[in-house]
Amino acid sequence: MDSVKRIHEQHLVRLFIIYLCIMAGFAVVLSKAFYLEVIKGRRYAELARKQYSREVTLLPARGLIMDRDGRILAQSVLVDSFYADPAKIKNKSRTAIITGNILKLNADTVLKKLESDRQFVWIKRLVDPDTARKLMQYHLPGIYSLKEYRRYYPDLKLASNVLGFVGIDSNGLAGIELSLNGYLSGTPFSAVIDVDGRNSPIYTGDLTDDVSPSGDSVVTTLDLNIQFILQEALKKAVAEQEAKKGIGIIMNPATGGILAMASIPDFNPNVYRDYPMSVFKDTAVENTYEPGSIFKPFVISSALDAGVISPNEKIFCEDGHYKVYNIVIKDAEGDFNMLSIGDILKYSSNIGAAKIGEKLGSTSLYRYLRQFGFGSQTGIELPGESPGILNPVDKWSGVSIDTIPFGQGVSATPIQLVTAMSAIANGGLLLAPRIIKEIRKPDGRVQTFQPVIRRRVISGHTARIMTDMMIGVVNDGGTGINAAMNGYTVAGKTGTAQIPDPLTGTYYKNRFVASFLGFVPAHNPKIVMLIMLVDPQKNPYGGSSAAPVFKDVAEKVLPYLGVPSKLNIMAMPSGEPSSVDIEQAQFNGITQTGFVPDFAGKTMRAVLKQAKQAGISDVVIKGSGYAVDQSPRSYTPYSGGPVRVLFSMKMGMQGGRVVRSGTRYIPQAKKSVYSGKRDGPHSMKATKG
Amino acid sequence: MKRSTPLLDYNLLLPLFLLIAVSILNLYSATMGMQGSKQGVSPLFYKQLIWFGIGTIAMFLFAYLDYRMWKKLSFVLYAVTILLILITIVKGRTAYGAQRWLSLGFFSFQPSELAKFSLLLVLSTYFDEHWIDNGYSLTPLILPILYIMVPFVLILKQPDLGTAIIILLIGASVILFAGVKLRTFLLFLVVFITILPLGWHFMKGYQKTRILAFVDPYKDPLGSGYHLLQSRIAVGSGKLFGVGYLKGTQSHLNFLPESHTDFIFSVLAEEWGFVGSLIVIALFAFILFEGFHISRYAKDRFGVMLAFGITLSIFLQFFINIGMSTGILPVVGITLPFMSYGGSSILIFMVEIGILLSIYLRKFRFEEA
Repeated sequence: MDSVKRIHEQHLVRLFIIYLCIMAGFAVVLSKAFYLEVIKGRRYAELARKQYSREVTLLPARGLIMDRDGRILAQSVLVDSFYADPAKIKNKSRTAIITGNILKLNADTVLKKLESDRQFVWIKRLVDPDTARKLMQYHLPGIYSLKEYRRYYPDLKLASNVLGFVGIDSNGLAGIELSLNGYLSGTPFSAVIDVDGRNSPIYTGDLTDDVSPSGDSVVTTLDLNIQFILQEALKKAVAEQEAKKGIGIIMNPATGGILAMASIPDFNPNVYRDYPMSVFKDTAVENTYEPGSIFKPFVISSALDAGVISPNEKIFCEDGHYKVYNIVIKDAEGDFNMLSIGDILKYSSNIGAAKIGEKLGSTSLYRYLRQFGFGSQTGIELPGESPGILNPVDKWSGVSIDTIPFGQGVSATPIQLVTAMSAIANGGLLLAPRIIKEIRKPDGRVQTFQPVIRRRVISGHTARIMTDMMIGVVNDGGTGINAAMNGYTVAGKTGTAQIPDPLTGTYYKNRFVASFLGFVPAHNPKIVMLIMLVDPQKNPYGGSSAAPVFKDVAEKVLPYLGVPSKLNIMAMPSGEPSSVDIEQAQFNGITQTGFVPDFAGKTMRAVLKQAKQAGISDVVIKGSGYAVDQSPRSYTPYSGGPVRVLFSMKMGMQGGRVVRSGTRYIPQAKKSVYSGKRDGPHSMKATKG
Repeated sequence: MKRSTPLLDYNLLLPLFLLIAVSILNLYSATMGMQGSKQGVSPLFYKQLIWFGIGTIAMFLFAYLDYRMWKKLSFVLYAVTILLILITIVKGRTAYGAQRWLSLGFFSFQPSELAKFSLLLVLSTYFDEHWIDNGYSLTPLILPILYIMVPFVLILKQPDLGTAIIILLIGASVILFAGVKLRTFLLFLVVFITILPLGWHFMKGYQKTRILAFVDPYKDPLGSGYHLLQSRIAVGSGKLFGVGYLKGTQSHLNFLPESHTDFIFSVLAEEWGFVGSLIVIALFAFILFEGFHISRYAKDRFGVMLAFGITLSIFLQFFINIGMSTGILPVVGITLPFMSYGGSSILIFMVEIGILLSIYLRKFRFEEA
């Protein structure tokens, strides 16, 4: 007991020292805590707030791409992107095998990522919802997901070369996605979001979905159904003819609006990485071709318009051999002696075309071809457009004036050819080709892209003569007979162009571009169509390989557009006017022989001029101002007798209504052509009718 | 002077259970939403609850057992501890680059936690048996120094600098408390000062950067200075009353790593502010002063030494941990007793409290007799 007492006494001093030390320890800790929390608290609270709340720039949901009736061609949906925090993974090889299996990745590659010492490693981004759900069921520790936008193209390959695709960060990389990226991607906006220690945003709800404005939506002039008809027909033709490429364009000649534009090979933009770069090109605007004989209508109409030839004139075609300088021009369809202008076109005489070119002269020919839009970009809203090659006259060789008329020594893009042909189809006006109809802002505002008339290239009269000549091409004996349709008059021109060999500077012996360029119905054209098959192995002639495609497509498209057929006796009163009709109403009608012209909205002087052109001498005029009504109705066959036209100072709706013929054919095909059922981005199968 | 028989030291138990209550609340927040959580509640939280349960049972068990039994057990336990540390080094579970855990199937055990306890036991036993009234000279201290150095070196090897330092500090404090001759004390001081730069030389790279980061955390705020800065921000942003329970952004948004173990105090400080910090520090103060009180009135030398050692080891970990969280000391992996997540730590501290209670209990029985 004593010893213990002694211990206590001895230890009292030491205990006292220890107490002091410990008191000091407490004092230090407390004062430091006080300093941090009370004195400097506000500063540290601010530091903490800065750490977790961050003003970030977010990209809004990318806008839709739609066809002209609002059917969706491209849309963005939120999907999961998976990343890993390697430190939080217990069994790395098991995790790698499971994720690799589900996400279809190499397990070794995944394992390598999981062994990284970073805190954030992407495993796979933009995973489709079914796969994501499957992976999430495993609840793998250390594997996380966040929401990102993925671009979906519900119709897979449809219009792929026009639409293009976007990269992993939703940036347009080709097609409309690229050219209209500024609209589609929308304005980046800033938001304050919470981030965690590894700097990844904390998704409390789908922030990007609720808060963000979306990019602008783009309404194209494309028609999903027409696109489908064209693309399938072209694909079939390319396969049958064993062609390298196929290009098809359908344009509304009244507005310049492109109803369909297809390139084969096409691709599926949802999985664009599976394709070679070469297929991403939109051949219709990026590639140029020597047009060959489909160029003749432009040369002949130029010569007619310039008055250097008359429609009934006959030209000596040298019996099939025409020596100019060091070359001999031959005709493919036979050795001709004297041919009328119409027959030169009908039998596609190169010699005849060359001689017409000579008559017109190089300066005029060049000027007219420039007027038709060759040698310069059309300005269509698609990336990578080529201007083609039309050399100025001073760079022409001695034979250019003879070869250009049949489409050699000049190159053009498919879109240029269609646009130029539209000018012939619509009575002489060169329009700007349009692929964009509207831009719809997220706030509901709509920016409409109106048809733009560039210039008058040829007179309406010339256009009419040219149309008649091109009708001849598609008649018995003509090169384009395979494009002839039941119930519709087709005007067009075939082409079988040799492909230049860049190595030798001459042409390949057995390689051709087979084409058909025309419009239908000839006297009231609703569509201008180009079909081009590049290097077909089976049948290189445009008349036998491309012309049938034109016919096949037009046979489906015209009833779909409600264009009355001459065969159809079951004409029914029309319902709502289609957009083509409305666009047509804005268009100054084409004067056609044998039909009563459409006078609606025209001045008295214009009416008299037009009547004269149509061969109507007896016009009875009532009132003053602008034409508001007429009898007989427009586009009805003219069988002589007086035509009464009522004028009024007020241009009302009546004026516009007159344009529409009273009856419209509603084809059965319209409903079955495209019955793609869409219930979301996951069912991307379209029922091909 | 007859007294009623006090069974338990409520002056110790009351602050302890208040502290445990705060600890459970705080740990719920710190582990909330962690990996494997169900409805936000982490399995770690339930594990810790079980450990508190086991710890409480152990505490009462050892409170009623005579603490003198540890005298006989001390060397066996010490030997077992050294053996376990050796096994851990050879085939232990690695975490954070060090082998500290020994997997026992159902749970992982940290022998270095046990080392602190068994060291206290052997030292107390030694000084009890070799008592010198007027301070020790060097020769009789050779054995105790050896007792300290063996676990110190082994734990340093793991490497676990924090625990090794604690071992050293506990050992040194117990020796000094037992009493050292002035000459010997000065000798120790000289040796210590000469060895210190050598120690720096033998330190591992990351250990050096941690100390350099303590000197200037802004030199590498995203690397070596990260823990320190984030902890300081967590504590500071609590201000006077805290940001609110479960609302701490530093821990819940993963800015503060290891918030449920080494930096548990920062979680508390962020959510409860200075007021919360003050309460926890005060609870520790109550426990510690009661611990020294028990040491002072222990009935034998063994009790005196053991109670002192236990109390001081709690204080050292308390001071180093909070010092680290508030930026007074460099970052070393030391847990906060009763607050940090960790089964081994909780169990051993509860057993130690049990021993304090036992010393307290038997002290008064002694006086009665």
